[in-house]
Amino acid sequence: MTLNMKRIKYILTSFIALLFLTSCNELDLTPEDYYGSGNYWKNASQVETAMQGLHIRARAYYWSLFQMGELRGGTFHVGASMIGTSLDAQQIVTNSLSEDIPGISNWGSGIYYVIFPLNQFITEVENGCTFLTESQRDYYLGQAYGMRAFYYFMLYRTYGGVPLITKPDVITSTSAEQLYVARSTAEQTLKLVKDDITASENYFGTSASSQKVYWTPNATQMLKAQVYLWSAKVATGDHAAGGQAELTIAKNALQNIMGQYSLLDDFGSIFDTKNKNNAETIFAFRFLEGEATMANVGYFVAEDRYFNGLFYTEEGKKMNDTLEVLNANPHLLRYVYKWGLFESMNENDTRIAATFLPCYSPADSTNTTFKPAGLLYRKTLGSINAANNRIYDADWVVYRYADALLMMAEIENGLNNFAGAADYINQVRARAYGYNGDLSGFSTAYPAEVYAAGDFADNELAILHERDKEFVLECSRWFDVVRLRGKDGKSICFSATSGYTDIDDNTQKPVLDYATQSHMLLWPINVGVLNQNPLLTQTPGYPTNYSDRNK
Amino acid sequence: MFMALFLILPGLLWAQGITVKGTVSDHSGALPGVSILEKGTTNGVATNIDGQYELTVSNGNATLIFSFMGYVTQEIPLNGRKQLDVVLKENTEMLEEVVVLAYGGTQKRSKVTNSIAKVQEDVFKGGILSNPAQALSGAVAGLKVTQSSGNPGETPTITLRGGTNFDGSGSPLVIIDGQVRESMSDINPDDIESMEVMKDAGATAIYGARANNGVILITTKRGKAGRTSINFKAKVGWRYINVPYKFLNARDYIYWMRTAYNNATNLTDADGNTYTGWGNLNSLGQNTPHGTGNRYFDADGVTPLDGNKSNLAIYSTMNYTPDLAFLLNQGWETMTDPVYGGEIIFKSFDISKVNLNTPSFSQDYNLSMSGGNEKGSYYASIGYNDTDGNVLGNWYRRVTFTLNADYKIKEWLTSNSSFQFADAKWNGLPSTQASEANYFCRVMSLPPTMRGTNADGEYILGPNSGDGNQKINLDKLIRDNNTDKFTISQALTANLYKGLSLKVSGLWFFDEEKQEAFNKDFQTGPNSYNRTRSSSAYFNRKMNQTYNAVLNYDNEFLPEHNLNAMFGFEFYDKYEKGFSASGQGAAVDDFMDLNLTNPELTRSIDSWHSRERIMSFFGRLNYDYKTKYLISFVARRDGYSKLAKDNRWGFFPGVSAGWVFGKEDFMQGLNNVISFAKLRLSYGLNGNVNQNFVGNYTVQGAYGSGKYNNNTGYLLSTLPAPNLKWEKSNTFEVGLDLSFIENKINANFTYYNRLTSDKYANITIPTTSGFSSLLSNNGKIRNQGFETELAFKAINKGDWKWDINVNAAYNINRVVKLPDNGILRNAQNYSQAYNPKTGKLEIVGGYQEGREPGAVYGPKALGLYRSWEEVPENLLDKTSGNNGSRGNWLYGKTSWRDANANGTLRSGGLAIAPGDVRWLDVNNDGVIDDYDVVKLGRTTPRWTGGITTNLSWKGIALNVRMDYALGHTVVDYGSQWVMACAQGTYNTLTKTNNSFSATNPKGKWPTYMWADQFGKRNYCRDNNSMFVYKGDYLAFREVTLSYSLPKYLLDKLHMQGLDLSVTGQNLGYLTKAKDAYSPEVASATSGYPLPKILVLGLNLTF
Repeated sequence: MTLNMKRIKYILTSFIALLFLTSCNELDLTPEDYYGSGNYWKNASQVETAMQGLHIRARAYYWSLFQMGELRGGTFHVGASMIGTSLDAQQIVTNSLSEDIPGISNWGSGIYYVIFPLNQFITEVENGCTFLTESQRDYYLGQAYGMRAFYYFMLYRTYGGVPLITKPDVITSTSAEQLYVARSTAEQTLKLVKDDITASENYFGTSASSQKVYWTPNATQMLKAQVYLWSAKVATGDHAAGGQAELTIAKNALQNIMGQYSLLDDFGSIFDTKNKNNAETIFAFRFLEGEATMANVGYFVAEDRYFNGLFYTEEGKKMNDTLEVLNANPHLLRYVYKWGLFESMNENDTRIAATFLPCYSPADSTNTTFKPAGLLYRKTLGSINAANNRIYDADWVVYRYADALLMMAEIENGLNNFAGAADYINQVRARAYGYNGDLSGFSTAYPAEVYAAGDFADNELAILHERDKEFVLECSRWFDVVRLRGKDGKSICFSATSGYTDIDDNTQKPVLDYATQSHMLLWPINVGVLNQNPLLTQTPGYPTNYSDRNK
Repeated sequence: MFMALFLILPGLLWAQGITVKGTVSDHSGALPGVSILEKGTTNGVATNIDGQYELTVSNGNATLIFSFMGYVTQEIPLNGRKQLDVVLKENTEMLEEVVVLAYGGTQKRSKVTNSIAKVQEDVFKGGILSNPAQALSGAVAGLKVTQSSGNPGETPTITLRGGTNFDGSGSPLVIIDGQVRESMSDINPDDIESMEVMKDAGATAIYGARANNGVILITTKRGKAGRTSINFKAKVGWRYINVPYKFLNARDYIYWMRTAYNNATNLTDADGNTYTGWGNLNSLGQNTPHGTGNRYFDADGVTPLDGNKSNLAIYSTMNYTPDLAFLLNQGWETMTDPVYGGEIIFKSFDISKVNLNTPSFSQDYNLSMSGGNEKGSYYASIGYNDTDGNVLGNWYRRVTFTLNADYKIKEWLTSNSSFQFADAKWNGLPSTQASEANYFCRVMSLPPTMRGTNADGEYILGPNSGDGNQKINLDKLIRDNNTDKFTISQALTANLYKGLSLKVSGLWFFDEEKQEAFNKDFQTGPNSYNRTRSSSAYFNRKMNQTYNAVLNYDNEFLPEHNLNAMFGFEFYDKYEKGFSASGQGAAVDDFMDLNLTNPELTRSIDSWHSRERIMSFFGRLNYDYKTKYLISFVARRDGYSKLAKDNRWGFFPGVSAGWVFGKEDFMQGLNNVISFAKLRLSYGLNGNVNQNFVGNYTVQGAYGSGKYNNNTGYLLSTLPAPNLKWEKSNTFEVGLDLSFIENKINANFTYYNRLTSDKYANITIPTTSGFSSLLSNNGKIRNQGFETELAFKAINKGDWKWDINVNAAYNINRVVKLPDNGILRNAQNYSQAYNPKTGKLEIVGGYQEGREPGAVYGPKALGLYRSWEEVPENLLDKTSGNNGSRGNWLYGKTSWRDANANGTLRSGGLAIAPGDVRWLDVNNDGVIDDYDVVKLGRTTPRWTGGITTNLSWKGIALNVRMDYALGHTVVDYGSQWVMACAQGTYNTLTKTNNSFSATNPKGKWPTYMWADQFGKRNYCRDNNSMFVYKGDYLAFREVTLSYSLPKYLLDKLHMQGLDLSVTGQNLGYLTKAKDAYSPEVASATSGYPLPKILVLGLNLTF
């Protein structure tokens, strides 16, 4: 049998029909095991996971806060540790920064990686996500704006004017050129911070702050107080210090949260893994085994094999693994606080024992007298897990009530209410001496330790020293010595009174030399960043070989 | 040479029914089986074994048609003759070869306008192959095949014309019976009917988006009408290890290692002052491989220590004491300590004897059946390959089954059904081994003083499970690897109208992999065990579906106008899914069941899913006029799910043209010399979605997940890239096909130029954007080259036949454009070196615009300083070295004196001494630093090719296949590491016997010193010219001697054929890089050398 024409036509028609019927939508595939860009931001629970994502990313850069906020403050030992390890970040610790030795690179070791998802979140939630209820949307945006203000404020305090990026432009870009953004002025940068705080406040409205490990309205108020306190006192680039008008704004912000928190009786328990979400904590990053631990804290303690049996207590008792470092990793001493900081603390101050483990070594071969060897840190060492390993799972506290009190002290001092300032200092100090909330008990037991108000500069120094004892490894010291004023009205970092002695160094020196290092209140940006973006210029005051090249 | 001539003998004229007789022969004698047909009738007959025939024809004026496969058909009018002897002329084989085209088309070689090379089936005949790629070395001009490992399951790396990636990689698309494969692994070479390599884009454009690295088209065997046969092939082979490294025996080892410690400890400067180097002699008295602190007896003095229990009894080296004298009867030996002069007793143990399996045995069997008639035909085969590697416990086994069946259901409708199955199981290296290099370099350099056995004669492990005797834990570390591949296809071909047909087909290809691993408790050292009991399982399935419909039209529509047109549609879907799980800590170590693992300890589970789809329209138009003017168009339009909607569809055209100018009038005068001549031109465009950059969903971006406060959170982790396009390759080529002297010499020459643009690149962006790089289309690379294939029929006389085939390809790659990065020539991964002329630093190596990638730069050794006089006065060596070098400064004589005198000597500084290398100071500044390097070569060869010859006499044939590569360098990190004593206690090569010393001042190699990297870095420098060899090689890939039983014997045995063969496979290389494990690999730490294989073969056909 052969084919007739009819059949041929039938077959050919079917063939051609097949071509046209096949839908090109067959080629639209989406990932099956995760979200691609096409199937996210589609419902409320996804937005909820995005908010978790913002905190995951922010938590990942906890160490940047330490690098930017504490390392340069003059409280770190220089040289080698007592177990012979070379110490890290010496260029930062000694403030020997330059274009080629920027200390930290890539804008605070990657702060823009935290800002990008915030920009994306704000853009998506403000312009889309219509499935969210009004209250959901407002609360989310309050959080996101607050967090963005927090990170731009970190950048502002570190670099002054920075590239201001508020949209997730990289998603739609196809070339590097499209992403070149020049540095804004300091004032413009600070304005963005303040605008974001206003946006955050407006979106939050009257919402309550029920959680501690997520950004809350109260976190925004703490940030607002920090920002205006800074803005009031620190001139940067084209920004002139705002003075008392801004201090009042800061004061109002703090008054919004006064009374909602309280100091814990036991200073050490604030950081106890088993005492998370405590009444003193206002905002913290949550660390948990299996999620994230603060591995870098291990750089403040010594591995047992280099430590056990080699060092002594002040009384000459040989120490073993006193801190129960066990086999945590990494745990080779890379950061050591200056002995002078430890010495500045009164022996009855409970913060000593909660913060440091002082180690001694024999002064001579008789093993009868002992001399200081070095400090180990112990405040946020976390806990020991089921497998008997040390894990650094303490929460990373960003804001706590003691900070609110000491900021209040500083504001009152700036508003010339010196007695009020002293009162706030004493509230914090009373707790440290075991008299939480009992000022009269404190003054009876330790009359010499009660702070009596002095003049403005005296109070500033007292506030600095109180903060130094209270906020070890809480990313405060460098910002404090820039913000607080010395007797000459300049940042106190230029005053010798802000310096600490050390084991092998008995002189108090200023953190920075005003004559030669006044530009160093800000950090230089690294060459790699300059190379990536021809529009960038070096931070004013730093000699540059690179940023001119692009002109 | 052989004229078409026939003899006309006088005969009588008959009116009707006359009988014609005669003999049919060719130039070498009688031809049996030639069919003779009376024209216009069905009346015919075939010649007998002596070439004779007898046929009764209708009348004396009839015309007879003589036809025979491979010969030119002749029509001869009888003109009344009764006797007609005919000499048939062989067909001009090469030109009439039929080439398989995409989507089932075929084309005569003489009409092909593209570079399509047919792999000669000979290549699969002699050797034992676990996959067909192993036979392709040198088989096709421009196809570079790198066989980098002797692991039997290994599939060689194949690149065509230099590859389209900057690093010279990029493998051709492999298509088997219409199914795209990821590689040629697990394919039975015996099932292959033909293999075509499509090189130019004028041809490969029809495969559009995936074909810019060329296409290898494989067609499996199918049954043919009229021929029925059962074929059985058996091959057995012995694989002999072929390691270049010759390690020292224990006596030499002890001598050299103890000397090395001394050499690295007690040093002298030019003024005769001694100083301490980077070593110390403590270990010479300890329980080290070379130290005398080992013990034979326990503390009680009578109980022998067991090396599996005690650290003191792993190595044999000890001070000789009379109570050990009995050991001398057990093969132990004594020698004099070269350092302290005492007597040392030791035992020699060769780890390679225990951990290398040579010769290992391999076997390969194939049974196939085929047959058919005018209605239907089939081919079925079962194949089995079982190959043991030279490494302990390394093997590969493959079982394949193929059934290809065709049936003519109706006069106009044919069905083609196929079922193919391949099951492969294998075991790689022992799981303690991180790499093949580790096995052949580190394990084999285990100190030969390792006792090997304890006093009871049981093997001992040695220092640890990674470096020690692998036999100990072999059955404790269970690995079960298995792939299964199924192909099921069904096609229907409808012959619709004269020359018009439609073929519709569907094809499913399952590609599954299963892996399980389980560690029983295993020994990790003396008295130390790993009891983790780790268990894991993995399963992955890739389900490929291909559906297509192809309309084909083939017609001579006007006299001498030939037209073939094809148009088709295809839909491809690949879905991958799988899962894996692991756990540890089961209560017993007898079972791998994951359920038995301890839930308290880390367990992991995962599953995954991923799909890609391609929709395509394609067509081809081949047209020729008088088979003289040829033109061909191909085109494909592909839509690929991997790319975003707006960039998903691409159009890939190809055009090629040929002019058989040999047929033009002006060439007629040259006919006797040039028998065929064709000029070819081709141009085409291909695409590529490079899977190294773009996965199934890459362009959609990805949100990565994490946990915060026990809640899941998502963050954009991969940027979407909706603008990403195809990488595009434009290929132009021009070629000339020539045949000389009656086609006794066939030659072709091709020049090509391929520019691949829109290369994928991760370009650096300001991190203020939130990301550090952006995937984009940016960058261009050009491959340019020349290919030639020459085939000579050197002898074709009587029983003698000798063919020689040579092919050669020259290729050079150049980077044309790279993403802007502000660096000169937008260089990437570059280094710096002094220009010898200007003394200035220059950017060298890596990728640079306008430059060829793969330059090898290294320090040049100008021999050794042989006396203090030769050591320069003022020189500082500040190089950084490799293998964890300490970068000690090395000082010339005066530099050393001055540095010592004024206290500026750097900690660890050393005096350059006789026996150290004289390095080239490129910029002549008296300082040797990391920039004093020169160009030593390049990583890729410029020339590649193959040479085959086939000489036969009657049934005996000798077939030799060779291949070569020229113009690359080989960096031998293996020898460097071993001879540097970089491990510190492990064995060195016998070459160390010829190292410089006071007693061997003419030694070739620098002084042998402990841990060269901690000292003078005579060995430990990257690309040290002493270990950079010219890689040019000629590989003796295969030599086969075969014998075919003559026909008269076969007839007695009732067989169609019986061949016996003996083959030598991978017989070795002619190369200067013979000290490296393979001259085919430009840069490798070391590796698994290809074994020399002796194969015996039997091929039976009934």
